[in-house]
Amino acid sequence: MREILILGRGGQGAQTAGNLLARAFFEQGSFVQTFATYGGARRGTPVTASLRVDDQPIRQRSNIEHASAMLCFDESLLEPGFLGFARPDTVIVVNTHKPASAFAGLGDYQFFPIDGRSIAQRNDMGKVVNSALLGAFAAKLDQLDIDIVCNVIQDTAPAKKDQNVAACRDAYAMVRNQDAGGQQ
Amino acid sequence: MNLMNRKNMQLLSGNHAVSWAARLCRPDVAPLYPITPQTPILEKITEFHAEGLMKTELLTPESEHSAMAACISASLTGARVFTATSSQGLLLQHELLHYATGARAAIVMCNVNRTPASPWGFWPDQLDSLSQRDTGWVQFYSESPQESLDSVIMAFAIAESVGVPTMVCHDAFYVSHSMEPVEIPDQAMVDDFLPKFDPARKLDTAVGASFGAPLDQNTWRRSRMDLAESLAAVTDETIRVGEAWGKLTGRSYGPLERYRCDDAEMVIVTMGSMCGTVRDAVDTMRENGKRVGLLKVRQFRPLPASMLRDALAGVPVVMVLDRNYSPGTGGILHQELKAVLSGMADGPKVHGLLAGIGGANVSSETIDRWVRDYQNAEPKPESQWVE
Amino acid sequence: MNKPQSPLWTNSTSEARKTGTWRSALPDYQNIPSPCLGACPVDGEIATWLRQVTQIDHYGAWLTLMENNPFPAIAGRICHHPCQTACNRVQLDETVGICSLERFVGDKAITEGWSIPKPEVERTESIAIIGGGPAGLSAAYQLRRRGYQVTIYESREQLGGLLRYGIPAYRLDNSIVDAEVGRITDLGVKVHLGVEIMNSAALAKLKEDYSAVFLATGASRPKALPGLDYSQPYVQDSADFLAITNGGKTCELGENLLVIGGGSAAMDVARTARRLGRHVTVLTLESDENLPAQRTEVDEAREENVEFICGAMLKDVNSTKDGLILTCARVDFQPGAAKGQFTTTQIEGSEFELRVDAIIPAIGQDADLARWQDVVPGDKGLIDTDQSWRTQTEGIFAAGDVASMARFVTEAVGQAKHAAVAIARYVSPDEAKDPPPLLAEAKFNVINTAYHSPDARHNQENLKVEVRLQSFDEVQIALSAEQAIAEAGRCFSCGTCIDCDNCYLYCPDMAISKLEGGGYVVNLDFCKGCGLCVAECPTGSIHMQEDLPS
Repeated sequence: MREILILGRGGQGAQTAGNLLARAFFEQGSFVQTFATYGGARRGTPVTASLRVDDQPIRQRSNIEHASAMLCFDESLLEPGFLGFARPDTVIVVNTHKPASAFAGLGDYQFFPIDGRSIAQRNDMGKVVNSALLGAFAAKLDQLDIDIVCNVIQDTAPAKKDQNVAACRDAYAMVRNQDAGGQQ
Repeated sequence: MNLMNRKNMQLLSGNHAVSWAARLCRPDVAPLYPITPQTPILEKITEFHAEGLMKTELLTPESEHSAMAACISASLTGARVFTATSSQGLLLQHELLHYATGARAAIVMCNVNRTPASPWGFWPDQLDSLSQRDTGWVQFYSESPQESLDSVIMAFAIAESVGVPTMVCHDAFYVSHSMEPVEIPDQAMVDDFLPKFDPARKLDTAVGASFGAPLDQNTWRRSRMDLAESLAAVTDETIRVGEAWGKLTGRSYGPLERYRCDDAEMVIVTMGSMCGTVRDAVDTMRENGKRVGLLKVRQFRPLPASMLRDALAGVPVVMVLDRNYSPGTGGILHQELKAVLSGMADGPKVHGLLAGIGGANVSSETIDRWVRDYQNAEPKPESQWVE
Repeated sequence: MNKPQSPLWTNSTSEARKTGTWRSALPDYQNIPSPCLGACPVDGEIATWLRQVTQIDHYGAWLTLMENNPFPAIAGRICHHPCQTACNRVQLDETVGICSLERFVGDKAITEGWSIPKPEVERTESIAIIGGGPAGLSAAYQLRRRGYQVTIYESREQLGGLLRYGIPAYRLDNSIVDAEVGRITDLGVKVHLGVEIMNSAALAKLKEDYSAVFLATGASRPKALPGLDYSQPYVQDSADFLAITNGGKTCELGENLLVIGGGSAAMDVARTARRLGRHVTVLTLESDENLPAQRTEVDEAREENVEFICGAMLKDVNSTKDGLILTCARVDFQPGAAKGQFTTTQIEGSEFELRVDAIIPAIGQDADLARWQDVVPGDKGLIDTDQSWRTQTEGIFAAGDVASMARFVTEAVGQAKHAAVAIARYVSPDEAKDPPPLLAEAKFNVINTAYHSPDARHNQENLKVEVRLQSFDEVQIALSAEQAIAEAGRCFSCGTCIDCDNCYLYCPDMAISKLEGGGYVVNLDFCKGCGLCVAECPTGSIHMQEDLPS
């Protein structure tokens, strides 16, 4: 079972990203379970979306204590409370314009920085970063078909469907390029 | 296992699964008042209604109390009635919950289990509905969105055949707001499963009969004996309906579920969403050679006393996980279970744990630790605070 | 399991329990007069016709109005509406705008061309009516519709009296007078215009020729202001001024006019003169708050830039080639016990001067009694009458301004209605019916206001002042049909059953049954006298009465 956490601030689209990711896995035929902070959630406060993915029915109904992958919408949220859910092998994708070395002081984690803002901007998405971050995150998650992710975005985006999809693919390609040793 | 093999699968939250169930059951009247975390149920129903996908008399009165008053009156006219609430809303309905049972109104309600104030909170805790245990409502506790959907449909069958109101409870957050794959049954199948509600007596201006006159002492007593007789039939009805539903869908349900209890040295007894986490914990412990099982109490009212005794006969140790704290008493399931098991020749030792009160997280690792802590301990009469 | 024999359900009834035996009081359905009815000079069934307006039964409303007053369109414009002063609703929010609704119904009747139903019987008895103003026409209408043969003698060239010659078009257009007077003559009333009954002999002759005579000549003689020379060209009495200007002629009196007097006639003169482009000052003995004109008239006059000098009197007039120089003085005005009574004391050293071109005194009018003094004596300026408007000469009746100081159009209409009943009793005693006894009025405390939500009055709007001063168009703009229905809906229907079914629904013993065609009846076997029906009656038309065992 894979356990995934997405952290953001209310209004950034972290919960939406969690739902989209869950739906993409679901469309691929996996069992999924997703839930997000509620009740006190409001614009600007830290919000968490949790996602479990498995090839058999998911029965656990509790908080995720150890994530195999994490997506962080805002580097200011990288603090011990959140990093406590990570293990040394946990993939942590961070929305930042800084290099990975900038986070070395936070501990022995695998940080993958992605400049979601600039990807969003060059795809006419302004400050709306969640599709770009989802593309980058998808590139780091095994066995997730980027075409299905893009179909889900195309289906559900309330506006700028094509730009959202383009930002997602752009970020996905960028991360895959980097991993292949290519230059942006 | 691949989900693609199942038809009519949708990714739904527990609340939206309940809305789907309500839609499939075609209630004639649905009085609803919003409250966190029940509101998505209402929202989805109003959406179905607005799109013409659900034909029902949708009432949005000024309070949960009025909503329940409308439920009772509508039900007495012979209408099929659905409503949903949570926490403070359910507590506000309290006096009418008694009335509904006495009136034999076959209402079906979904209650989303949420901490009652104060302090203020929105978290999973079953005290709201458990403290309605003396109102006579049939109570089911559901573990997952799929079970919530199935339970609402089965609840109509039970309520309408026995003539008592029925409540399907699911935990806030872990079920209400958790999105999971849910299979939506065919409408035609549900139509066959649930025949039109046609009670023997209904309020009708064309019929010269009335309801609700004050009764003398002996007649009042007789009405309670009738109620007791009906409630005594609920457990068999739950079994019958659960099996019938299982034949149609492959998902059977009963008043209780024994999970890997055979030869168990310890059985964990709990209700609602925690059952799933306990299943995982049980599987892990079994892999490690520990003989532990789960007894899921699905039907809490009427309490299936004989079935509980049968299920736990010969089990050396029982650990009850109560996601509720009745101030001054402790865990409600713990207390009820001790009473049921009292006097059994081979009755188990019973530990009561106040687990996950107020929605505090309970992981399978935690459960594993509690098993280790309590399997050899001497039980105390009081429920224990654990974390 | 919901057993058919469940004790929760019952087919039996509690009819065997005769709860009526517990009773010490019994509700009684009796419509009682609303305060507006009590205040109405013509005894209008206001609650009834307002209810008909809400039911969009305009014709029914008009017939109800016409029972007591043949001039709803006229009264709806000019009545001093004591009904509104008496309205119970003021204790919740604002009084009901009855007058504007009467106009609404009256106008509807004119637009629709409704006519008065013909008399059911024709009678041989004949009545002569002297004077074709509000009182004469009212009596003519009431007598003619009862089948009597009615002849009106009018000294002027047209019927209407004060309505036609004394009230300017911006308050009451002559087309309205034509319509409502025409309906009465269409009933078959004989009319002799330009005929004056000059003296006692002529009156005595009429008495011979007719079964009865009704005097309704009004108050046609202007009161004279002491010390003012009426023969001067710069003095014109208000009645003459209004008759000329209402006839469409203009005023020949110069630019700056002084109107003396604070009553309705003075306001009519002042506001007419403003419409003719004159500068107008009104001089009144009365202090501002004691002006006898209706308050809206004073307010609207001020809006139209009429200047007021209240609490002052004219002392001297000096005519120069540049106009009049008037010497005036302030007075201390003290109202007396009765209407029209007062005392004034000149304040020493308060003299001041006014410069105007002409003076129009409008200080009231007296009845002309001297010509008939031998037949119908009177003093204090009025013909002597009793409560039934009988003069001292048998067969001669008098009402309106000639016999009363009430001096309002609708007072005259109401008096003439009562006089007509008395005349009918006199000429055909067999037909006489005693009027029903008067009941106590429905007070505010019998109204259950839980059934009446606060709601502001729907008022008639006024034309803008700039528009008003350009023409004689009516100042008040009639209510729309929607406004009228909403406004009529504000009526409490004090004392009048509105078939709301509250008593029927609330009776805990189901002791009240509905009658076919409306109304309710109490089943004495079951009414235990709890009074819930009375408490829940929104209109106060049910009353508890002591019910002693017989």
